[in-house]
Amino acid sequence: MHKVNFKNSAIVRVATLYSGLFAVGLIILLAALLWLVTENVWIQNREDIEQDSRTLANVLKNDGEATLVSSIRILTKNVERKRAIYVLQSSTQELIAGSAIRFEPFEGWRKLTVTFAADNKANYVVFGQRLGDSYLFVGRRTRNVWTAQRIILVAFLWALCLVIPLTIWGGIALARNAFRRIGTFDSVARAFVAGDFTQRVPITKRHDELDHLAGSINQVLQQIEKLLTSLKQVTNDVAHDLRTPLGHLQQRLADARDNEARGVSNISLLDETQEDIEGIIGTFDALLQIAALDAKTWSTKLTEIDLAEVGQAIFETYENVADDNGRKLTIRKDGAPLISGEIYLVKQLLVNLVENAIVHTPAGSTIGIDILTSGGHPTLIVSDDGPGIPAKDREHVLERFVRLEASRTTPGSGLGLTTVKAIASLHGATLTLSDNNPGLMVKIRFPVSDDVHP
Amino acid sequence: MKFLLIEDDQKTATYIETALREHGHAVDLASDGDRGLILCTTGSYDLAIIDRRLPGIDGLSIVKAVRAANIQIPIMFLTTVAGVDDRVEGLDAGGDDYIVKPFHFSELLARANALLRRPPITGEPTILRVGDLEMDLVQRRVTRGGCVIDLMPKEFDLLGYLVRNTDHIVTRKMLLEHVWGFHFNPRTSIVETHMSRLRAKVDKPFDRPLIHTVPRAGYSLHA
Repeated sequence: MHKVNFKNSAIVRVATLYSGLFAVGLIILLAALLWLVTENVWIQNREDIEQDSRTLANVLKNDGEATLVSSIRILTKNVERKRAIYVLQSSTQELIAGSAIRFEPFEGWRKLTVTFAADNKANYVVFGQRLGDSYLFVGRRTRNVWTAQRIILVAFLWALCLVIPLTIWGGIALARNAFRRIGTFDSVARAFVAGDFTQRVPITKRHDELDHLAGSINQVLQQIEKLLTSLKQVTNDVAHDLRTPLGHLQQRLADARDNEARGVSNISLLDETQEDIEGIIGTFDALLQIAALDAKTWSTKLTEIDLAEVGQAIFETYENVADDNGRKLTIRKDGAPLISGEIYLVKQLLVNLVENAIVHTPAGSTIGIDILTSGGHPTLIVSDDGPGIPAKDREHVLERFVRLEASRTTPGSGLGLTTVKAIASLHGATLTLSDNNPGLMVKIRFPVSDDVHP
Repeated sequence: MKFLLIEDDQKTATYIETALREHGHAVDLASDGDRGLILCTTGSYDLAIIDRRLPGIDGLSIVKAVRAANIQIPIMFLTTVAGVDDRVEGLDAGGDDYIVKPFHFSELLARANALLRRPPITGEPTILRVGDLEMDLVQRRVTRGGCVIDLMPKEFDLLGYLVRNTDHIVTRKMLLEHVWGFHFNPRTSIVETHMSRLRAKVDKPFDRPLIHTVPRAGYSLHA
């Protein structure tokens, strides 16, 4: 895997493309603006000319030629820098009033270059009309159009000079930022591949799509870490805890060989060996099941389970078993709390708890199954009045293979409660161990299931 | 009876083949999936025992193909694929039973026998009789020699399973699965406890016992 550098970064490409597009957009905007302004100035000029021409024609009509002449003189005097021209000339092209320019007589609109002196020319748009024997020409210099265009162009060039570097700088900054954040993903992934399974992608407070992606990736990493840890745990457990019984097996085989040599029957030895092997297989199955439960997501269909029904079935099965073992099993049901889950597993959970209680209490103890709903939570409690578990050991006993000193001599793989815990957490239930004064109380609190009730 | 065994592990295959022949059965062996599927669809067998992990076509696909071809041969999975989900998958695909390795041959034989005499799904009688024992499955009433025997629900289920398998061995595992629905191994002796209570009611007051313990294998009910 090669590292992505700035040159072939997708983000830089996008940022560059964006700057380019922005510049093109700006140019189109300029063209439109120029066209609009030019058009507008033209229209304005024409309107001004039309208005002046109309007014002057009216002056002639209402007040006579003398007033027209004086009006034109006043207008011509007030006009700055030949911005506008007014010419009243006779049919023989003699100037009657206005600017000292001679026009070939015409009517309507013309665009003309007027020569004031050899080195003094200017462009005008001129409207000519015939008033009696004379001609009136009103014109506006077209320089104001060009002036407007120039102002816009200059402003625009300034804007372009400022904006283009700004967009490039912004693009680079954006690219750098995204590059850095994507880089964190990259480095986390690399560290993960290299074996550091605790690495997670940092999440900012921006709650943007990258944070969203980071969240999803972290969940994936979390799940992978969980699976790997579980796998590692199983491997370790198998390596450590199957060694002892396998050692016993080896010992027995050596004994069997000795017996054979001495002509002693091996039947009882073989029976014991058979039991040993079954014990090993049992431990093995339990380990695999716990690993599978830890890694499991609901692939099978969930069913609606009535806890009271399961409790009753297990009670009916174990009442006599407890009795034969000198313990008393009782059941108390309050309602029929419904959970969604897998019936095999829920049965196994309750069986493990009841069997644990039978095995770890002295004869004469009472074991109770309680099924109830507490604060909306379907709850399952198995309690006994035996020796209990000291507070400091309670969390500890949920781990694999933990068997307290006091129970070293009782049968079992030490995986019962671990299996219970795995089944409980798969069902989203919490498992708590507490003091029953005296004895142990194991409480399984299932999540409130709204969808279960009709 | 004629068995088809599809198993790639030579040791296991020889072990099963030899033991089945000793019990008077004929056995055809296929050591890969492709050959297994051909034999299963073309030969006529009373029961097929199929491993899940095979070279070529896997066991699950064989069973699906066989069922898709509408071949109604009883099929038993014999596999190391042991999860509850895997079992469900196997049975859904059309398997009739599911044995997880390692296994005892007695377990395999007992289950094979149970499959071979499985009655058609429809015509199951509502009253079962063995000797002087009579079970009314509808009224859930048991009498022996005319005397009513009062049984707890689980005891009734247990007796029912034994009676349905009259003259054949049922193993502890079969009872756990069919009577209690437990697919795990309990630490306490629930089968033994219930069996002894059942015997106290069904056999003890009468001259001849019906329920017999078969050492190292399980139980058998016969007149």
